[in-house]
Amino acid sequence: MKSKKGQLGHGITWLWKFIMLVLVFGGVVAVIVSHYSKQVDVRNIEGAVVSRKLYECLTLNSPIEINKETLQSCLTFDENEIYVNVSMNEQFAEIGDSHLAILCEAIENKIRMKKYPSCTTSQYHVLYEGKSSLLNIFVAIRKIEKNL
Amino acid sequence: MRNKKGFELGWQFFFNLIFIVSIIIIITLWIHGQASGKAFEKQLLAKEICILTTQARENTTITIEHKKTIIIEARNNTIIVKDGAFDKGYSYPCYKEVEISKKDNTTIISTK
Repeated sequence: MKSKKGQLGHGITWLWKFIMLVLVFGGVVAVIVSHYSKQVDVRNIEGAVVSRKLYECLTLNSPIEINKETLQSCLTFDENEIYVNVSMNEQFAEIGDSHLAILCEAIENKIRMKKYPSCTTSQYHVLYEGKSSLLNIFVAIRKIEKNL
Repeated sequence: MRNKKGFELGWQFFFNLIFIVSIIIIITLWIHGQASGKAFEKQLLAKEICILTTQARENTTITIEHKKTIIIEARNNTIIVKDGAFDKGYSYPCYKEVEISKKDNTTIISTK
């Protein structure tokens, strides 16, 4: 039968071995994860594609109607991950998380961020009521975990 | 014949050995999976499909040839690329509903 001191010593040794094991294997896993889990950031391409798609979709109808419903009918947006702002003359519509636009402004002001959204601004010349008008489409995409 | 203490020590050693060896095997398999670039391939494929389907017009059919083990799924506008039936897969949230059908090493994606 083991003494109390012996049991304590045995416990401490076991705990020490276990901590060492966790540290060694945890270190290996952390190094491998950081090396191989590099993400490809496609948000800029995605932003350009979404912007182009919205332009194509909005200009299908004549005259162009800009409101939240029209934007939602063009594409399905996850409102936590994207912010879309479309404007032309007096017409204006937005969808998604407007905080992303603030982050985009911060990026423009050269504020460095570790986890930043992708911001795409596009302008298209369209014919509206017989006059040339400028259709502005701003797309900000978060999707940080999947791209950074 | 071993005494009681000897048997106890042997059992503990055997248990530790099995424990450590199984951890090493799991980590080796996992490192092999990561280093072979399978995770990266799945990520690229999912993102490419998302961009392609977003860009495509209605009723467009996209045919993708790939390895037989690759499974492409779409759930709630999310593209999921799996390597085998038991793989959790890589998922990428997208913007369009698509219909997917598979034939051997070819997947046909139709936009709605």
